[in-house]
Amino acid sequence: MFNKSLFRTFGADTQQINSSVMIAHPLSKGQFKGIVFRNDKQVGEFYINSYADVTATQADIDMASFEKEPQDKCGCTASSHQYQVKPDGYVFFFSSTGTDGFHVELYAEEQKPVYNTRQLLKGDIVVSMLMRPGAYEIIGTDNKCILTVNEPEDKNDYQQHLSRAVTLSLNEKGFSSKEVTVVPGQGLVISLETDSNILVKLLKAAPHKEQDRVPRWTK
Amino acid sequence: MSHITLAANERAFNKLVDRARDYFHPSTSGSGSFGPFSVSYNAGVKLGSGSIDLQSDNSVRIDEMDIIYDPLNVTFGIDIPTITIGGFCIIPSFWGCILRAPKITLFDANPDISVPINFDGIFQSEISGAFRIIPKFYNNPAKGTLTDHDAHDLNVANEWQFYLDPIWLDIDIIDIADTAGNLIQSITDGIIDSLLGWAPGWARAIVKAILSPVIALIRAALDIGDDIQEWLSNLFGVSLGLFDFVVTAVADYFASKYPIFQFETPFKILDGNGSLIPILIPIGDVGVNVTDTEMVITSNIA
Repeated sequence: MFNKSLFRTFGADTQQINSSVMIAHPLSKGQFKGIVFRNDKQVGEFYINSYADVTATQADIDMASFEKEPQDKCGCTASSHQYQVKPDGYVFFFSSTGTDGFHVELYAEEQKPVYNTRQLLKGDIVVSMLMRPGAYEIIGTDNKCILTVNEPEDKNDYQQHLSRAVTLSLNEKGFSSKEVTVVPGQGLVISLETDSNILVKLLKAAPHKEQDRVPRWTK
Repeated sequence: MSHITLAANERAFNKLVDRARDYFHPSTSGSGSFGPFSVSYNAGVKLGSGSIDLQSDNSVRIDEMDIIYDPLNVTFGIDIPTITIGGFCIIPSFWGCILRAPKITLFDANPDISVPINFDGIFQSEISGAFRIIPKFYNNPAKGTLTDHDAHDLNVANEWQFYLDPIWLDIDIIDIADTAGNLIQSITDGIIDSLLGWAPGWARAIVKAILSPVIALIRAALDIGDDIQEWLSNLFGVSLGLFDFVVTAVADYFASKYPIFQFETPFKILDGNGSLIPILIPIGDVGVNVTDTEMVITSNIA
């Protein structure tokens, strides 16, 4: 049925991947093992190879798919999660359905840690899609930006809004804009030009607009 | 050769048909598709009052006999497709999209939404038709090797039976209850409420907006327009085949299931008395002639 978590999550935190926030990380050449955690508990493993012969520019890794699988001790589940991407292509970490609280750690050969979604790096891309109308604060390292989620006046344009994202970048000096506006469900893409996690915090929810009521009976 | 002639005037003939009609109560169930809807139903059918006229062309005309649907329950189900958000391009290039946002499931396709609607008394329809009366010899299997007198005593004698064999039948929808418009509208509302019953107030408008292509699909599929009679006729007549069922059931019932009149053969012309057994005479060459005032059955004593 409905992915209700989208409507019950009023913000986004890159340290906790859910349906409202996803992370794209450019991957250098090599072989990597990924461990998926949910609420700090390991729920799955995957392998991803990046080498020149591969043409895929991105590998989408759905965290929710690990949560659905029975856990095993033989590594059989992990072996079924194998991905490939060209060097400097992106690995996209996201949760397609309601489960949340994910983070991922990537290891190179000999268990050398190379990446953790809880410590985003320059070159990473954060995508957020929020549903609840209101005013939010986007917080990077020492920088802030105001995000307004506005219900569109003309619902006929809604699908067009959803098909294109609003972009923002963050460097050492701050965000590229001080204020951005999206419609509910529209993508907000934040390109990181510096190492920084991202927190999107609800400041004030927009009041619910009551529809004009036509009473059935009046005195 | 001796003859026996029986006659029933139009009033008596009406009572014969009325009696047969009162035992008519078939039921059916089924399902069909109506655009993106699946529709399942269960229905029972009875026949009410109507005019029954004998015709001078050796036929019987039934006009505007009420069809009573009791019950008539319809459940509308809709397969809502999976609806996602995301999927937009993040890094475009001349050769396509280098990086695209994954799609996040907003609504998963299963399970489907179903909305039950009770159509009892919502619309009235009538059946009309023309029939010929045909005699059929009923070789009672219960008689077996019994003598004619034993079969008569045990009420298992062979019979001549008279059926209404349809020449044509037709159904008309004659009236739609005023509440039908609201009721059908409630199908759409029911589906939307089923989908959004959990949602807080602020979320409903947003979900409705995101679902607008699907809702448009629902409204287009219902396509009620101004002519509810045509819509209902299409739903029950074409999509569900209910009217075909009624016509077939009526035709089958009167043509072979329930005779409007029957008599034993050999036919008893005198009761037994004391040690005297009843007098039974075999009947053959049975024919029926209908005029505009009476039905006449003729036969020969075989």
